[in-house]
Amino acid sequence: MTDYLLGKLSPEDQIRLEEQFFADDECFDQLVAVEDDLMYDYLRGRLPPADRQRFAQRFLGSPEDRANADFAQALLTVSHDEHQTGDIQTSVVSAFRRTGLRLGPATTLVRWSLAAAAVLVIAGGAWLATETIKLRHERQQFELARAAHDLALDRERSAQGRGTNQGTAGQPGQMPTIVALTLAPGLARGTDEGARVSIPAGADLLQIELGLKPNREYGQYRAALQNADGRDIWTQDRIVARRTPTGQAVNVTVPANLVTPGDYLLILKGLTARGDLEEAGDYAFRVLKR
Amino acid sequence: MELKRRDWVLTQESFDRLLAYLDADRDRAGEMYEKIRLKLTKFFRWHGCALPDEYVDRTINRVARRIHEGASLHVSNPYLYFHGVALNVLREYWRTPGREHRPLESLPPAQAPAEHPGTRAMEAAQQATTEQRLVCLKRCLGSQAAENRRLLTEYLRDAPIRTIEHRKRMADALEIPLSALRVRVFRIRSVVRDCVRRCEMKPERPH
Repeated sequence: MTDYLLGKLSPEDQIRLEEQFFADDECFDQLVAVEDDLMYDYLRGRLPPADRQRFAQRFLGSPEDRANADFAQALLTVSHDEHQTGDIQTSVVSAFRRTGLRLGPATTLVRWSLAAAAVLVIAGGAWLATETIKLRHERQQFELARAAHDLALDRERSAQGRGTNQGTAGQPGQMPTIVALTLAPGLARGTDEGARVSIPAGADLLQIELGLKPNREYGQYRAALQNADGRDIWTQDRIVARRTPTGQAVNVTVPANLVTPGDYLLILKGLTARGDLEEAGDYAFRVLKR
Repeated sequence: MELKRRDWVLTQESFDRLLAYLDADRDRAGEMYEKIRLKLTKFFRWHGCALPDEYVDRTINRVARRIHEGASLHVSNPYLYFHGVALNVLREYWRTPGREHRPLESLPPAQAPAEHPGTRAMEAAQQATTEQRLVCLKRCLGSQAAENRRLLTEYLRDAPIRTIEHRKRMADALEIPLSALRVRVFRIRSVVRDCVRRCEMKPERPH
């Protein structure tokens, strides 16, 4: 299953496993769990270098993937802390219980002296255990931080298109030129205040992130791109919002050859529960081509 | 280059026929439909499609259209029929030039000529998000049953032996197969992750 997820199976074996997980829910659940485990193995540096690169290319490409990675990283950190805390308590209690001192008839002074000595020994031992565990914790925090740094590097390498392309064996990979644009709702078209984007010759796609108005959320959106004449030149349905650091947003991807120099308006509509489309935002921008 | 458009729309009538094909009982058919969507989404994701929903819809629309047009689908298992159609959709995807989609954040600066005026604010917000996530995570883990919490932390522990050996021992101690342990831990993690997402969406409480 790991080989399938990392794209290492032959096409025939892929199809065989796919038929299995399509027909068998248990097999599917198993595969999804293996995929989740792979993320944690990746973050802890447990994957061989080649598998690590394959994983980064396949499972760290989308915002949702990165949200999953961020959650996994946080869970590793927190669960590690919890485990260490449990160890301290358990080890101290166990050490105390393991002393098994039996005190026969003796004077009160001797008993108190022995008790005080036992407390000192246990406290000293606990202090040493704590310091050792702290050092181990710091080492593991360092390793987690190093894994996070490696994760960021792998993302950057994926973005720059190094290494093998993702996909089935034998399929050629192409990396189109994508121009990015981020828009907020409400700017008027045809003014100098709107966003501007330069689309170089040879660009393939214009990828636009549309910030959504707060407290206006829909399950799905429809986007329509209008030219300066007010005519729809492109539409996309069934768009789903995602969470960003500054709020909710949707992503749309427009073929670059549709947008010649000029002013445009992206009209976003939200699909209500009743199936009606409601205005969700207008986004104006100007295209400058070199 | 033009994006291919779906030229057949899934109507309520054709959707009803699709459900009826899956199962005579509408509730069971609905469950099967959701399961098919989930499997198709994973299928396209695992094959590198950055926008799997579009291809999931395309696959389902094709099956629904065939049923609507009266075609007899001679398959023992409807799931396998969807898989067959999905393979064809995937092959079309691989033949489409410029199909790769890269998230905005992954693009190097040279390909993002439009500047976002709030970049620094976004970075600060991201740091705050990370801190809030840790708070939410501790809270959500704390809300889990002690046994689930222990299972989760033990599963993720950096054991002195090989990870697979460590997990096999855990499974043996619980008297369940390793595969069942893996699924159980995955489900606990999913519940915690959903809890964290809900927690992160809430506005901060005043101190």
